[in-house]
Amino acid sequence: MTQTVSFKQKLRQCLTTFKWELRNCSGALLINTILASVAVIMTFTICLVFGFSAATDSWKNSTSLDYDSVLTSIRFFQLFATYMVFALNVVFTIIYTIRVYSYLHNKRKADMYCALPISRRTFFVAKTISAYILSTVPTMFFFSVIALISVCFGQPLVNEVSSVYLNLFVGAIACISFYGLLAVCCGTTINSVLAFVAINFAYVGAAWFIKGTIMSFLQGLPLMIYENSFIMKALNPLSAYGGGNIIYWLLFTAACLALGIFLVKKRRAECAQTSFAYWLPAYMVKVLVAFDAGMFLGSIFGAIGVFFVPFAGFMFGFVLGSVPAYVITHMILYRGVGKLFKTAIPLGGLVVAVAGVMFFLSFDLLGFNGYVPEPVDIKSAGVVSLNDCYFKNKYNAMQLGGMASDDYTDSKDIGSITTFHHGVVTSLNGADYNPYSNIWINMFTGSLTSLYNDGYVISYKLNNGFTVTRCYYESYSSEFKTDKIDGLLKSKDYFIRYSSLINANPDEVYSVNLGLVDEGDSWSSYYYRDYVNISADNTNPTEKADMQRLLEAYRKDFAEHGDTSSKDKLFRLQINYVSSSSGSKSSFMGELISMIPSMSSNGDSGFISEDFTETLKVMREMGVIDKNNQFIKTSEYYIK
Amino acid sequence: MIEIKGLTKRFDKVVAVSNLNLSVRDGTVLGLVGSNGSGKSTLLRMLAGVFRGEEGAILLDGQELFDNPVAKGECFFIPDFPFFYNNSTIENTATLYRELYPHWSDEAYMRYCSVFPINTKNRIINMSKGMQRQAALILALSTCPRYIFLDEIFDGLDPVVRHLLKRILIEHVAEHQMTVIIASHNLRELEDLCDRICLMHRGSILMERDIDSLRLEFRKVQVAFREVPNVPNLFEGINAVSIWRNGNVFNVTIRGTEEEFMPKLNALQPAYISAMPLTLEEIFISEMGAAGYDTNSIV
Repeated sequence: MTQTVSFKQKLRQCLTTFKWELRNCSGALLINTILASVAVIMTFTICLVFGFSAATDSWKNSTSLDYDSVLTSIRFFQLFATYMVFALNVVFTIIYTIRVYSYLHNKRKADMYCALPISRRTFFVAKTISAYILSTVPTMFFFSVIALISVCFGQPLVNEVSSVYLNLFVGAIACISFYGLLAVCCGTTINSVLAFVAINFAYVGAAWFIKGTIMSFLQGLPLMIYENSFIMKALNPLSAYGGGNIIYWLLFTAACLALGIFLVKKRRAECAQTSFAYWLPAYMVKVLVAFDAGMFLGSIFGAIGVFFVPFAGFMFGFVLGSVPAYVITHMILYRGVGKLFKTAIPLGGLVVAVAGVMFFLSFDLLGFNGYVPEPVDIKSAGVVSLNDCYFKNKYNAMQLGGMASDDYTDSKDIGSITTFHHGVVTSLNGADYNPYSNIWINMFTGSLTSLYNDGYVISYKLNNGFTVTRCYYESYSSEFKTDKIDGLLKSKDYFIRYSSLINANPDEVYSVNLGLVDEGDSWSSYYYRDYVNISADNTNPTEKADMQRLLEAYRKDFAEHGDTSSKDKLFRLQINYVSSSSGSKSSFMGELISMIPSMSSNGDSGFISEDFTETLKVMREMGVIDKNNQFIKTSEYYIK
Repeated sequence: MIEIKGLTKRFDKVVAVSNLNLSVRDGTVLGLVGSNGSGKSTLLRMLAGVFRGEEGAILLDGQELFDNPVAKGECFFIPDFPFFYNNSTIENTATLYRELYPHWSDEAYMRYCSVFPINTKNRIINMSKGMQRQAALILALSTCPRYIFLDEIFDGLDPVVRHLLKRILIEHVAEHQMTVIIASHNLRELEDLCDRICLMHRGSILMERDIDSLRLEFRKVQVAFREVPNVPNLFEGINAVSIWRNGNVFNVTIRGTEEEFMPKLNALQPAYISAMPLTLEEIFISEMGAAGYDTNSIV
């Protein structure tokens, strides 16, 4: 019979363990504190000096101090100081975490700690919580200091900084828990660190290779659904520091902790200073690294057509890459070739599985690439051009397809879409198409959105209730003939449904430009002529309201009259906006770019004709144009 | 009381402890002796709850010991190389043990800090090997354990501190019925301290006996003849563990009492005969020799 320890006693033991860890990490903690203090004070001093210099410079030319310069410098202080403290946190989290779990990897420490009158599970939990606290609390303290200083200057926290608080906490606990689990499974600290780094990066590499392969072989598959999904970085807790998928990372943390607690009791203390206590991380590292290396060489060999058959070239490259990678990884983790053959079964399984899957994909045995539904089976259909679609940054291709699938029910429109679809399929499945050469490009599609802005989402709602969605990206080598759907894409309804000009959230729009329409309607001539600029970032409080009033009027007119013919055009209206879900404004670079609105890449434009009476009326009320529809050059919005 | 039942411990293919059965009563000082790799340290680590046997059980007052904080609160283990952090002092390590061990005594701590000639504020890692042992002992004894497991504890201690340690342990045993299990190769020290001796070889117990009865059980006999009797087997009928001859003089280690073997030896009409008790080291060497572990079989 075993006597049990009460919950209160366990809490006391946890507290004792925490105090012990605090004492042992006090040196590192002190260094962290000193460096963070220096970073905050240094950044504050520099920003403040620049801010006040700018403010006093403006004082010489005007009657009042430009306090906005100081506020801007405080914003920079927030950003730079936060990121410096954040970077220090990452470094010291590594130090604390390795130190906290080192008791599992040293025989002498194991002798001491395993003999203590505290259960292994309680001790592991206490150690983990200690690591959480040691890595997050000092940083949160410095974040609070930064926030306090900012608020004292009248500058609230910018979005970027406030999101860092949460990201840092989630990232730290996810990484610590994952490392804790690996530390339980590994026998040495170096193996734990290697496994952590290898799994983090090899998993992402593997996910990219799988995505690139699927997108290359299954053309049109709307795989972008996974672009920002946890699946792409499921075993990469370092990415939790970047934000997003918070629920997943909390569940991931809980799962790692629970598994660590479960395994630590059964862990053999004598495994300290041996390679592994449990084999799972070893297999994961070896298989992931072998897969990445195999896909790397395989995709190259498949693309250059080794053995004249791409599939054969791929498999040759895959074996050539994966087997040595597996052996080398084994030798690093096990310090030799011992148990190599015994543990080589997963490598065999990997080669067979990859060969099987790639055989299916290479020869399109499922007939996916040529599939276009028969018009008689289609209830409704839709097509969206990604080039000028406002929602492309807000929804993935699958969601866009869902939006569009009900757009057209007329058999003629459906026929136009299926004909266009057949054309796309035919152009992509040309005789010289080698999907292996597209794996690398497709791996990064989505990450490089600016290069892959053009494309089409085609969606069908079938009579049997299923929805079929395809997403095709245009590249320099594959441009699609759109003559069959041009009428649909230029229709008033399409514009109302998908254009940024009509759908952009007023809060996202930071500037509106109005220009005279030149002959030939060229952008260059438009920019060099005189125009009107209304900007939300301007200090004039009525400017944002004017801008929103103008947009509202334009949308009302457009709904009534639709697009204008070229001879009726009076003005060109252009909006610039930052999509709230594109992530650009929630990142450090995005924050900096948003301070310089002209650098934002999102924009859309339309024309104003004489029929757009509401719009013209608002423009007159704003004092931008006179009754003859000419720019009033004394208007505060007028720019020459 | 410690009960070990059918305990087996393997490290991969190596069997470190094999089907070991042992009972240790409270207030006993048990010396674990044996060849290198015989499983002494492994047994101590299992007793301390560091290792877990693949088979069998260790019961402490009827309670399973492994991962049992209540039972482990009654024990303290000092390994052959105790671990201390770089910045550990006796004082700050004491704060950990003070809160984790239920019987920690500040009074005992103060007493042992004054008894052992050591500065409690110095970093332990910078101390000599013997001083580190003393530091570990101060902390161990301050937890007032009912069971203490010591691995090569005499290593590095000077004679005065060794004597002091033995005195303290004996006091504790007498006053608090503390049970001590010491693994050591220093048989001379064990001889002074232990009530019982457990001799281990290749993971098994060769012999476990009271030290007094063990001493009585073996005799070293020197027999000298004017002329060695011409008989095929001179010491037939005597339980001779080892025989060493130098001319007409024989040194024989005999298992048994003098009453049993003296009449038989006298019947050989020796010119001189004397019997002496064996030291523990001599018993160890003779027993290990009987188990096939002697200098002849090694060299």
